[in-house]
Amino acid sequence: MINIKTNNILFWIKNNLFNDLKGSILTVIGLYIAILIFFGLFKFIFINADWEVVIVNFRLLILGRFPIGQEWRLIPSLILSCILIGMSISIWSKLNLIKIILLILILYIIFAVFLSGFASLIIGIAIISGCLAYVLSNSYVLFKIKLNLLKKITIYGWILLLPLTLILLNINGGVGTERWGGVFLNIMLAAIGISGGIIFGPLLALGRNSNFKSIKYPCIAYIEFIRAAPLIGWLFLARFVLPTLLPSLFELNKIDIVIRAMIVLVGFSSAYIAEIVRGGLQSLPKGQREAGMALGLNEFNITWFIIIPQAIRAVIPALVSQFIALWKDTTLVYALSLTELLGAANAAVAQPDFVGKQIEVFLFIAVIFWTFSYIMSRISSKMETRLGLGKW
Amino acid sequence: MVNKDNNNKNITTNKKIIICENVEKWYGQFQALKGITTSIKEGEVVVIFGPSGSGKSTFIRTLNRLEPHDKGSIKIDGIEINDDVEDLEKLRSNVGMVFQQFNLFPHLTVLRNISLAPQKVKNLSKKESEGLAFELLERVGIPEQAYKFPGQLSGGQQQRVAIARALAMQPKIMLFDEPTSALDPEMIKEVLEVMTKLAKSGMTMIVVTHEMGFGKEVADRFIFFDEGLIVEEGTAKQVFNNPKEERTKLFLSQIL
Repeated sequence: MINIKTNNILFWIKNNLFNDLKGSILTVIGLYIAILIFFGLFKFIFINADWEVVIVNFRLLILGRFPIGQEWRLIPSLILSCILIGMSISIWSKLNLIKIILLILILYIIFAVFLSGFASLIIGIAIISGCLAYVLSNSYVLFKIKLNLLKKITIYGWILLLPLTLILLNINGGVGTERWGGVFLNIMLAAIGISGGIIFGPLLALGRNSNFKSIKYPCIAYIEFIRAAPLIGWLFLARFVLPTLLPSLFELNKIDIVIRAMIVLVGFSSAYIAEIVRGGLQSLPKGQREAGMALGLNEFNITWFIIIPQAIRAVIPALVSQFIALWKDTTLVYALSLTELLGAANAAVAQPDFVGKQIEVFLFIAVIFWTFSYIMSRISSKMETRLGLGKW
Repeated sequence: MVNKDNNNKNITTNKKIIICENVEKWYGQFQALKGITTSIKEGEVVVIFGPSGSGKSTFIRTLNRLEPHDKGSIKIDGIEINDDVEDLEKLRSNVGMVFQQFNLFPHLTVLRNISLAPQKVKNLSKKESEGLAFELLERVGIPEQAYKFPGQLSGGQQQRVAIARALAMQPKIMLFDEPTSALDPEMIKEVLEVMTKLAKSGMTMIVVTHEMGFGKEVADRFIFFDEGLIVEEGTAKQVFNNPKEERTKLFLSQIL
């Protein structure tokens, strides 16, 4: 078993899959089930399925009821995020050429099937700029740029992506949040929920650990209060109860439902992230704070440079789990009759032309959810392996 | 081993830099310090030893107020340390400390470990503080490790970085809380060498340790702690050759 060569596949199969009678039987049964599932899926995807429902409704699924002619507002963000993905892969990941070609091929097939005309041109440009960014930042040495600078640029790029998108959506008349929809709405809700949670969560955690009772108890009260009810409860509260409670001053009671959902998501994720970060704070040895104190660093510097970075690193897996959960929880705004991805899917299958085509549509949105969740979990495990050395 | 009572460096002034009077400390019902009265001169090297739980670590931790004392008074460089002390951060930056468990910041490079506090407390520029850090790394003998993370270094190297980090604040006093107790035997020597060099350069040092060979080489004075009290103090000759107290004799017979 120990010194088998990788090319000796038959030997490996014999040893690991058919080493005795019980093992052989289990292997055969397992193989049969796997083949059944695989061929069933294969047959459905390539033969039985009628993908027209997705092709016709592609815009609905991606953008919802986003006004036609206003898509240009999203193009810079789309291209920028592709560039940033390319740079990030080149800096932090070790994708080999085969994997990259495979990735591009899959992307190309997806868009060749579902898109045509202007949209496919834009997506094409975005993918190409992503690839270019990958190639260029892979050969950063040629441009006499230091790796650290490249990392900084990429991180700042990611941080600026959300504000840039929001600005573009609001300038020159803007597109009201009531017109946001499809997977675009899910992405925006998740991005805002996660960003807000990253900002307010650690603050709440620090507040809960504070020695000042006037800070500590409100933080505890807030966290426990928010965690006492499910997200959907808070969303319903924001939809039906808040308008009657809020004063009509400044038309606060007329705030768009999407913005209310954003506020709920930020408030909700902050409470959960606060508890995760608090776990990280407690995992730090007392000596870290003492070492900072002994050097004469003040409370702010100790917290900002020593405690918070280590606390967050210690809980990255739990944090990313929370992000993934939040990403999938964005479908709950469907209950507020918003056309996010799930709402758009339901609208698509409700069309008389496509009766009984649920499986195609839901398979499609399942792939979208899975892709984003998988990317997040990959980033998480990448960060974990770097954690051991303390590198980013 | 050379046995020097008053070693080759000069204590230039007779200025008392630390004055403790009747320092007491409780942890709940347990009294860790039962009235410590002593003073330490500028440039003096003092070794504190004693059984575990005798209050020696607690005592040196009261000197930079990592543990606030409950009674008595401590004056560092003429400033009384209590809750009213105006600039605790400034006081602490004048008193460097090296811990048993190193307590390096694991998420920062060696260079950043050393240069962080000078940047944030003394407002040195990045360039100045890193220059200082390299100088100090040279002094503790590991300039080539500057860009590594603490987790990539051996225990002895980590403790030397910790010494460099404390020195980066250019303190007047250095406190060492059992600096070699967490180290493997073969690494103790390299840390003690750095400390010996520091002692000979005239730094005021208070070292809690049981490395008596090191103590005999550099210490001007030994203080024996037991049950929260100073039982005996004096030069190496006095303490090792003619201990006055039974408890000192007993303890020395156990560790030597």
